[in-house]
Amino acid sequence: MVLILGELVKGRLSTNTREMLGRGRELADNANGRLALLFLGDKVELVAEEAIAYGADDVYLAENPQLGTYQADTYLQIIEKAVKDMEPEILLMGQTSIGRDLAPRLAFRLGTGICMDCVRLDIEPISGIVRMTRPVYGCKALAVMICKTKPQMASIRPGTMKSAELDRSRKGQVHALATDIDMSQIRVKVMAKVEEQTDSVSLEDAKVIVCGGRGMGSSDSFSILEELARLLGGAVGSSRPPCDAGWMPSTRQIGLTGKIVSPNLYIAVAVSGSSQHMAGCAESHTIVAINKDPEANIFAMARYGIVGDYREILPPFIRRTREILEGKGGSRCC
Amino acid sequence: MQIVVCIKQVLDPEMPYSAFKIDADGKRAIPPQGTPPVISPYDENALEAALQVKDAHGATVIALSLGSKLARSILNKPLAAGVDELVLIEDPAAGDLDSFASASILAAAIRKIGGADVVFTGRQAADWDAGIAGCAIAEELKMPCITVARKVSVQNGMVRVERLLSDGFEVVESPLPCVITVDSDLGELRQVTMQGLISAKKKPVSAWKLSDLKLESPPPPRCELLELYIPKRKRVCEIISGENAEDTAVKLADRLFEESLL
Amino acid sequence: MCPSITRYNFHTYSGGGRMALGLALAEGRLEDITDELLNIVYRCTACGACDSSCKYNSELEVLWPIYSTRAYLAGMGYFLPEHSMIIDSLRKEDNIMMKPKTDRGKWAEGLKVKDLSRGEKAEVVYHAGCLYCYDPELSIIARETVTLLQKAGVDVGIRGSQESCCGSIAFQLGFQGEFIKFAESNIDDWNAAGVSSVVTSCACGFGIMKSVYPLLGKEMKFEVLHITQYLDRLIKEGKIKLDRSIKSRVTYHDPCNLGRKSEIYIPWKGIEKKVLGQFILREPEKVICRGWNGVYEPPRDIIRSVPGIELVEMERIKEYSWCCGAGAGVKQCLDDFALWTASERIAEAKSVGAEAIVTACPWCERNFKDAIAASGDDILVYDVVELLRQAM
Repeated sequence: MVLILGELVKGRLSTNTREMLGRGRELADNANGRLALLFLGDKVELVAEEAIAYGADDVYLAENPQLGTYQADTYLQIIEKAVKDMEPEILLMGQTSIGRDLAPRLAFRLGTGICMDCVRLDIEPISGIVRMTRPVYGCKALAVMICKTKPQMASIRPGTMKSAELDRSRKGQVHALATDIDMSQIRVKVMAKVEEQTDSVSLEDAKVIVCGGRGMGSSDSFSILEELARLLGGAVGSSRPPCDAGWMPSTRQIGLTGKIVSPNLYIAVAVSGSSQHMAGCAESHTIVAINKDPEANIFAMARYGIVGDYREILPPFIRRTREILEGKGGSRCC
Repeated sequence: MQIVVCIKQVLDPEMPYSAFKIDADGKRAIPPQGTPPVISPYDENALEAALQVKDAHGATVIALSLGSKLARSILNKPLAAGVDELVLIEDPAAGDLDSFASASILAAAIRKIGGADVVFTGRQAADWDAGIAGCAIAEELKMPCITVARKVSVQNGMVRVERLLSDGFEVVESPLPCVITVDSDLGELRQVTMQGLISAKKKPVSAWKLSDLKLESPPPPRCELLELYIPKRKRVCEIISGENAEDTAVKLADRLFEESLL
Repeated sequence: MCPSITRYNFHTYSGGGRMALGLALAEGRLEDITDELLNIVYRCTACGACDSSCKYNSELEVLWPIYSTRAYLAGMGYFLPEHSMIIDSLRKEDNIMMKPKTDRGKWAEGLKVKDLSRGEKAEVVYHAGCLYCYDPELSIIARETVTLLQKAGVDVGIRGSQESCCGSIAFQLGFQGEFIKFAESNIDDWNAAGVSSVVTSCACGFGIMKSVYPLLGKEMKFEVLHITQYLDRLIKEGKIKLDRSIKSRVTYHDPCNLGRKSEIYIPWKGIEKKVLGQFILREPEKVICRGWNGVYEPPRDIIRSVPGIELVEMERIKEYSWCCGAGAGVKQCLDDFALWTASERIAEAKSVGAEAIVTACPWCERNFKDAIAASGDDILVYDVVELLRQAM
């Protein structure tokens, strides 16, 4: 059995969960096994229907008002018991805020190993062993590993696997899990939650992202990126150095330990293209790079590039873009 | 109050790109010439967290590191920054350990040091980027674990932590003792001063072997590493050039418009 | 000629001794790297005197094995604790003075000069160097230099707070990885700014830019010049007029990095043939830089062009110059050695009856001034630019 820990975003199964269901289905089919989704929450009605439509054979639901907000000690109790009962061959969860916090501890308690931030799964048909690939050394290299103990665990990086297809005619079974929570095990208490104010599009949803790097030089220089983003209806992101220097808040950070994004157009300005950063934006449809260094790593990943100083390139670029978007296309025709 | 900070010596993640090479047979990265190893950057944030708590409430801070060949001049830095004591577990058998094995050895060391109220470590190490060790240490010591902290304060035997979420942060509280993994948002390690370097020479450094921790050999790895390689990338970038900056910029805008990207 | 062996009188401190040390490390014969060993390795200003001496009649490369030994040790994590402070400062604040990056442009406050970091364009970019930017006593010289260039009608600009270190100290300390990053960044910045010349006051920077930057394989679309070369050109073209006379007996101290170390190191690959069992013929011919083509005459010409000046030469000059003692991290970490070396040079200057030492490197000037302050000597120290300004 392949078991997936699901997450919801805005009331629907997250894209990451649907991607795990997609790959999970293929892994389960390899051994003629079942694909199951496990979900913990306070309101779970529509989850089962959606999960089954996306390929799950079984949906295990743990419903309890205390499970509304993620809390490690609570979630671990329930999931550990459920996994020990179900004995899946493969256990997947997302490399998300919850996944990063939960997965190592779960692997410890289950006495098995885990491949964190996994980008690729290959199954050996006969033995059922899964080759798990993950980036290491700040995404400069790839490591392939296997785990001989069960369950074989991996936390899957969003955007690396093909999402399952929706098929509302599929049938599946729904199981309710007991949610007896041992309160004495709960030690960490969540006191408050603060959302960052964003008046612009969120990075994960943006179709266009303009990202600034270390070469921007100061926090003031980001204003030209904001102008460009506004013009294109997109969001402004940052690589890690501007966040470390305090020029941009860390919620704007794109990269291995920041956001993973996949916009249609990603404009990287004064970004060197270190592998930690590329991990965050490699799934973009088209990357455009502006950098003074002709050998910057970003040019290895970009589709279009200009070698030069952004201070000279961006103002005429913005002007021309504005002309084009306002319909004054000039001598060029589409 | 006693604080232990677990730090790891890694190859410099900021080495020049051309210097990064892999030994495919040995399945490890090759230490480059002219670029010394460093303390993993998130572990430096963990040291800063510990020193901030020490400044605010007073504490003894002990830095703990595990490895097969530890460079003293690198690991001297925490002492120069304000840490009170350094404990090194240097053993040839501690060469290529997986996160769970490292965690169990570090946990044994923390038990031997005794009396730790808070254990800090970085959220992930700059070599394997797994993010497992901190949580695994907490499980070994049966302590609560708070990950990706950006602000830490201690009050009345409880610790209050702001931890990162994808869209902001949450505030959590936990009784002591507990394990906290730290994110770079907490702040950079304070600058080392000349006085710091001079006083570092007088601070105690203990060097232990695995046998001192009553461990014959480290636990076997839970996963097996099959392959380590640098992926090949093809350059398909179209470099736009023009007579001057303005011309080039205009050409780029037109090109993107052609491809319906604007 | 080597300050190190002259002071410590033990073979390992000499150029030959250091080669033996490096070989022992490379062959793995030295397993235990003690503090004493590191002390010996770093008590050397990498001045290149040993190199020039050996190249007088043979083809031994002595300086580069010294660099490689340091790189080898640094790669394994063996260095003095002060080095880590310097490198940390370099990584975070782009300078080796452990001062904040935002203050880097302060030396130019009030000066009406083009700022290339704000998109203005100029033909020549003036690279002040970390010491001139942050040392308040010396930054006056940088201001005078810019004013002088502007008066002579040069289209000069500076990079202000966006200027970053040339990387020479990182390279000389063995942190070659760090050096590569800074060197490549500087080359890209200057290429992108479209300047035709880079003029620098810092001799250390000049030496590294001429001798090591080209080895990175990056196209350098500009010419690297030291300020003395540029000013000499301007004087000969008549663009600088020297009206006032200065009656003084001065001597000129050749900075190592301006002189013998500013020649490029050319790694050689080819075939060697032994002829008659004695002579070695090489195909293609090996080009060895012996330090003969360093920048020696331009500063001397400038001094001689000042009316009233009497220039006397010391005995150890040009490619056999005695180092001032400040290079390769010695000034920052081993100040006692730096000051002793400077005092030797000052004694030499006094022995030829000079009233002042003129030099062309801020580090030399800084070290001499510190040595004079420590010993209470009455000899004066000038930079070539200071002398020029006084003569205008």
